[in-house]
Amino acid sequence: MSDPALLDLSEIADAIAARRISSVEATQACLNRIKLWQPEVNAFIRLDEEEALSTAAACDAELAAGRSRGKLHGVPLAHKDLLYRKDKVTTAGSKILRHVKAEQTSTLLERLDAAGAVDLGTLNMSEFAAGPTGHNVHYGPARNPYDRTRITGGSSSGSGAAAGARLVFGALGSDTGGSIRLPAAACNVVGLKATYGRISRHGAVARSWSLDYIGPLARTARDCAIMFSAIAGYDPRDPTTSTLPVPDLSDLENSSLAGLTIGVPGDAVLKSIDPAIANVLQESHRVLQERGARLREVPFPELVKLADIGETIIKSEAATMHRDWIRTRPQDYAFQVRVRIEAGFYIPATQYLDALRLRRMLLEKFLAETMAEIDLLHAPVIPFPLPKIRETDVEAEAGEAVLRVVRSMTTYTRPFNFLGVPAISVPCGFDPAGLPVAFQLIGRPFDEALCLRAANAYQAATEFHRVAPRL
Amino acid sequence: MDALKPNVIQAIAAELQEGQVGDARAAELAVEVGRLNAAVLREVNTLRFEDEPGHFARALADAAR
Repeated sequence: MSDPALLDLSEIADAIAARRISSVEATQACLNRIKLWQPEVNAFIRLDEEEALSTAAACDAELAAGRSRGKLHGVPLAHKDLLYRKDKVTTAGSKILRHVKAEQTSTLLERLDAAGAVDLGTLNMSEFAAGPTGHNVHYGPARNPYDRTRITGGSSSGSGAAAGARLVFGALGSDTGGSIRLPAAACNVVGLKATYGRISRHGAVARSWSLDYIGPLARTARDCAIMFSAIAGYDPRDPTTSTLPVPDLSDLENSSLAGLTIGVPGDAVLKSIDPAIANVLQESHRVLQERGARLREVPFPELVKLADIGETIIKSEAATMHRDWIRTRPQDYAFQVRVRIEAGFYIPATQYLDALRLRRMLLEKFLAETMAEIDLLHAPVIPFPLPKIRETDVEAEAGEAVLRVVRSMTTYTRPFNFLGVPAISVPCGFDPAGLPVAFQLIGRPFDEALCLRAANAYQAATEFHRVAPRL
Repeated sequence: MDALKPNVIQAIAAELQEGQVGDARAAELAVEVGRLNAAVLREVNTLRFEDEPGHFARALADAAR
């Protein structure tokens, strides 16, 4: 077998289940690749090599005894460093938590452990999940596997870089304003932000309780579906999770775009984004149509309005969470992180509560005006070619420069965190410089299954996600 | 811009007097908070008296059915 790390999650899972390769061999293949790529992309904060090999050996022993825990049995993964694992440090990309050990394990890591996944370590991220580019003054920026001078997107920067560089078969990230979908788009992998309440956040360091989502990044929609199936569903330890049943995605292979109506933006939106990105997105429209989808131009929601109301919530909640540390340890925050939190101290409580009250009304408006006649909405993710790391380094600039970068990166992602609906980022080509481009498919509440099925059908017709980065 | 902005400015001014934020930063904060407050205030007249923050989760679940 050539380098097993180049297989996707579904393929390595099948190979391990059929005992064509052991979990130890798969894990060692990832470790070999990590040693080559880590100096290039800075994806990991901590590598747990010995524990991973030990878990993999235990998985192999179980399989030899005829016991399988399911599709993820023996599959090496790694996750954004904001999920607690008992007695291990969870830094959340910060200096403040650099030596703090968790007292419990997050629900999602427990679920992945129970599913037999191997945990390779913790992945780089923007400090406290605040930042859409992947900069981190404490651990260094993650770098894009397709061009190491470029950003990975953030805040799940290491998750994007690790999945894109084939260092792991899948990774969890978190998304408060685009932090799964931006790095997925920038690093040429699929990223799923599920419906608010679908996936537990228990044991995850929060950015904003009302707008945080945790979800998978992996090379294919099929891979993300496997991870989604393992982690989604009601959790008594997270009272915001829904009791609605998690869909059965075992027949994802049979997905088709035939009969689906997909909403697309009009010329005004396409003209507002970079022409090279617009061309790639329009080509994806053509592929979707060729595979049987009907395209329909629909009115887009008011993105700036939704983003600003959502930002009111993020800032208020982040200020509440960070109040004590901002008072006592302001010097331990990056400027670009602290500056985004500070405004939250000046937002009146009435404004915050009204922003929360508006969510129901604006969700219903979105469903009635944009989604009424369509099954999915197609939208850009990052509306311009990926900038260089140094071009978006605003640590030494004024607060307005920080906000400008955040707003430009998250124009098309942040509104859907506020609305609570599922959205999946799907690789759809490369710009003239060879950098990845992606679109989003946005679904109705709790219809992650349709997002994943449509993305899977699109990937069955395209090869963009199979283009691996080179050293 | 809106009725609440003076309160916000006063809050920032108070912190400024205590030396917690500098002049330039206080001005930036006032602009940023004013913009966010305005975005919410433009929409509040669409709310019903009985709307509560918790109704959002129910709206998501209802839309799934």
